[in-house]
Amino acid sequence: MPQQEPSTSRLVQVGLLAWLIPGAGHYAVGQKGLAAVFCVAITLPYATGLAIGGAKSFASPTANRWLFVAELPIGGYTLPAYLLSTALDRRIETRRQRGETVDLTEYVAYFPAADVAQIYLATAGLLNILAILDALSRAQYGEPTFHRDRRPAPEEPPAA
Amino acid sequence: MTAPLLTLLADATPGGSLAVLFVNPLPFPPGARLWMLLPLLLCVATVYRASRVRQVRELPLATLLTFVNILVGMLLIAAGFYVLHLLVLRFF
Repeated sequence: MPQQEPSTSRLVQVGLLAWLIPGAGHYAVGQKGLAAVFCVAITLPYATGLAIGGAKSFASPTANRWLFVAELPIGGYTLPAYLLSTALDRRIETRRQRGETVDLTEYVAYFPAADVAQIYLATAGLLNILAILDALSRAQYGEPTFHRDRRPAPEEPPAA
Repeated sequence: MTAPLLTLLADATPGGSLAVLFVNPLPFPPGARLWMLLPLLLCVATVYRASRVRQVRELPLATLLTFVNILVGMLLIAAGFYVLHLLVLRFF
């Protein structure tokens, strides 16, 4: 028997949760084990990338626009990182106005660490797109993303 | 509320000896770049497989197979480019 289709608001809620925190969408549809897996497997590269690169340049739309776009699929992580980045910009500006010499390597990683940080952050963001789509698929069809095409077609009603 | 907290966090480090995660970049050993492929690959394999399984118990074996597949594929690509590089050096 085909299951009842969830409401649009329910799907939006699941999508938003999955966008905010990796795995939260799966948690909302009752897949707690998968929620933990998605959370760890996406948070780990994001946190690693940000720790290696530093928030100042690696969560800033002005310093690295396309990287920031790639990070946006994890809204709940990227927004605080962006706020930290702007706070650091303000702090550095204040120090410069006081006449202090600011060594940017205190805040920003350069090659080769910068390469690794970018790849980790961008990959984490793109992986969460997959997680969001999967959460939506499970919410709507009760099946993972790539199993939808295997679902048996609903039976035709008998001809009258 | 959040902004003063973050400013406080940012203020805690510059000029001081305290390194704060995400504020000050972690030291990165020069030889670590290639090895960083492995944990990222594991995460990619895990997420990719997690979006295909119905239950978590199906995940470990599928993830391991995908991890090995991607790793071997990337090693073959690297070897191919290395051979191409040698050929270019040899003939051009």
